[in-house]
Amino acid sequence: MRTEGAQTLGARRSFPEDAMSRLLIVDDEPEYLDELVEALAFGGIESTSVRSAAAAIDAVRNDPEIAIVLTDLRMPDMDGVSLITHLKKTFPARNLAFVVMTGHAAEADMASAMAAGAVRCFPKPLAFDALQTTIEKLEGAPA
Amino acid sequence: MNKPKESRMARLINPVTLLFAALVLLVGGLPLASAVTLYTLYSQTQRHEAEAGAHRTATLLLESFEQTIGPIDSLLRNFASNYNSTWNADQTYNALKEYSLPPTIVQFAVADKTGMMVASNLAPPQGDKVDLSDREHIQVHMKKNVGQGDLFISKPILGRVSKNWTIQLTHALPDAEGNFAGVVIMSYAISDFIDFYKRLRVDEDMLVSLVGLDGVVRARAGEKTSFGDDISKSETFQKAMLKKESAYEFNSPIDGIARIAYSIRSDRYPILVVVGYSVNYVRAKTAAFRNAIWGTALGLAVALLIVGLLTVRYFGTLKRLETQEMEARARQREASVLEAISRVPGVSVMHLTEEGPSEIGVSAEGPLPAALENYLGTESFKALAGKLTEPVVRQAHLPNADRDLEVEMVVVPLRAMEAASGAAQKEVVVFAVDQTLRRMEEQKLYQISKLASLGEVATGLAHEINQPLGVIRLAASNALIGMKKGMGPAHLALKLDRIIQQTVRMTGIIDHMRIFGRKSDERVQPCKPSDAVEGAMQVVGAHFRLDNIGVDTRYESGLPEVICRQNQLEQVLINLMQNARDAIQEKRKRQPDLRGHIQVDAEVDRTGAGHFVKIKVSDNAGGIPPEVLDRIFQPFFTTKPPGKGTGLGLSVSFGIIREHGGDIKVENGPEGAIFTIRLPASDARSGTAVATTTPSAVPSVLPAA
Repeated sequence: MRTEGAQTLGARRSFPEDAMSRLLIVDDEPEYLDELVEALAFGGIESTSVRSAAAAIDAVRNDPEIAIVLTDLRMPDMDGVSLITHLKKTFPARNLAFVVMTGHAAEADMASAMAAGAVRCFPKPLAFDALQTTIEKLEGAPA
Repeated sequence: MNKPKESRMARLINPVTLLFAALVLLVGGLPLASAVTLYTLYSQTQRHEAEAGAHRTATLLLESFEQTIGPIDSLLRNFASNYNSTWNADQTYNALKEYSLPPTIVQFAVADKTGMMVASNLAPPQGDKVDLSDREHIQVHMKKNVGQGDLFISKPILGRVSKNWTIQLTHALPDAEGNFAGVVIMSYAISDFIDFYKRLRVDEDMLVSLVGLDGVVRARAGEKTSFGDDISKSETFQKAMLKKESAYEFNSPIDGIARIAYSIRSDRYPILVVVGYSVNYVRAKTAAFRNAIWGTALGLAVALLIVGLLTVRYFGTLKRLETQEMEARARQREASVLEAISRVPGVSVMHLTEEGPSEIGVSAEGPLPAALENYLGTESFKALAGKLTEPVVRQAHLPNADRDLEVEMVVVPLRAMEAASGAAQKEVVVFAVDQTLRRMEEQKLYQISKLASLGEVATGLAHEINQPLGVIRLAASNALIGMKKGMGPAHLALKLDRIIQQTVRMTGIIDHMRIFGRKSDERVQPCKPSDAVEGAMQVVGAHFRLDNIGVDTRYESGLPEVICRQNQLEQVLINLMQNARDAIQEKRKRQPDLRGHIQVDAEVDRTGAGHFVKIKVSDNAGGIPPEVLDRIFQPFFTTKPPGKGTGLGLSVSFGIIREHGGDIKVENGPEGAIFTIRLPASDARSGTAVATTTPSAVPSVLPAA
């Protein structure tokens, strides 16, 4: 629980030197990312955010601190399931945890995300408390 | 309008006409030909008969002449043998008087060897002596041109003593030693011959002629009686002299008349008999026959013709009766067929004549017959029916009390079966099918398809709506926390602004969904093609962006508006774009890095008269397999995996565009499929179409529902 970081809104800037951030959020909607990062920050969770799957792969490569990836399923360049598969394959040693959120809530999509290795799927609009709890649990877990 | 003329020609050259023409030729030709033959034969016969007649007459005449001259000749011989050269005049006179003479002998006389007349039976010798030595009939004996004992027949001369025209028959008189001692002369009145000849003549121009071998006519009975003419130079005479007897045609050197003649030369006397019939006379006789035979031939021809005509008419009547019977039977059969058709629900069959429409068979239930009857009675329809040469399919909206009837009808012109009874009369049979129900079915199908595509876009729309909703919820929650933490009004304002902005975004989506979900109204109105494309983009654009498919639109400047129901056009465009997207995603399974691209172009159709607007939707998914290309607009045809497509999208699209008076086509371009919609531009029509005539060949890809 690192509530002290909640005061700063700078967490959403994805600077690699921000080593405190272990959570990476991937979504193509800027306003949504904005509010999500702020809401998590209010809950004491520092996070880094990117707007595409390609940027997410870059961020994971550059920031060894990242342990949790929260990703949207539908994105223009690559869907969330593919991103999970790709990251797991590219960084097998990182032991990354994946959480998925989707605006479609299609059973098939969520099933394939779980199969790909997601810890949990959250339909949008998010049940924020449950999300926060899940993230905190994962944050507490050893990397 | 070539066909009636051709058929009229064909009607003229049918076997019956040919037969009739042959009959006329036969009927006219046979009698005429036989008439010509008969006439020719007859005129030949006539000539032969004329010739034979001339021959016969000439022979008879010669015989008669010889029999007339014979006794005179023997009398002269007898006198000559009794003659004594020592006789004085009185003795001679007495000797002459001893002979009884026929009345044709005008004078019987003796001349001495100097040509001086010794005595004549007419009067006892007186002192004065007549000198005859200059006369030919004396001279021939004096010069011994005639054999001793031969008869000389002189040219006609006027007797110096008898004062009559006579021919002189003379013999030489010998003395005791047989020497020339004088001439005994018998003057024969040629009037006797001529009267006889005249009686022989059967017509004006017939010729009977006695000619001396010296070429001088002794007696001649033609149109005019004549004698003494010298024809020795004429060719005809010279020819006649060559043979004892001959037939010939000649122009008389005396009266110039052409004759068919026969001449015979006497064996005993230096004389030639010629008998000739005028060619004109022979012809005239032939002419009578010719007239008779032509008359007969003509009469025969006319009679045969009448018989032929009657026969043809009889057969014609027979055939017409037969045809009428067959037609009556055919009509009966047709009537049963039509009646059977009329029993089909929603179908009405009308027979339209000059008198107006009448329903055939069982009256269809409902308002269709009455409405159809009204419509067929209008002048505009009658005008159309009058011009019809082949069946056409027409669609019409018939006004009716509750709601207009949409009717599809086949108008079939009937060939006037009895063409004779007035070709101008036009009859048509109209098969009308009430399409109102079908249209309602189509509307339902359209709604189903709309629901189906609504379902397809629903997923995307949920995402679209969820997105701002998610932002709003987080922003509101963050604002609340910020207030609790005392972050101040600036933070709050920022959050509220964001919330408002997101609700505006949602309103746009929801507004469009309302248009899309509305039941389609029946009215068409001008709308900009770009509006429809943008409307469609609003529904699927965000969705496509997520699927990483770029959509580019291009509008020609100054594009006219199109006549359409905008929401229906949008549905068609959405459908085409979704198909393009599905195709792109399908291709991505084989080519994951494919950059999906859809191009929408709207432009004026320049292939026609510029009254159409084209909207093209092309993708880069590689195109449609050629084997399914022509089935693609069929209902329930789909290439998508089960559960993915309904197979209704394109068929409904086809129906919608066709209803708008346009068409939709598909082809494969270099990159992928190209769907082209053509719609009438708003300046092409003055209002909504009430009746559109479509070719009877309707594409087989019509929605079958």
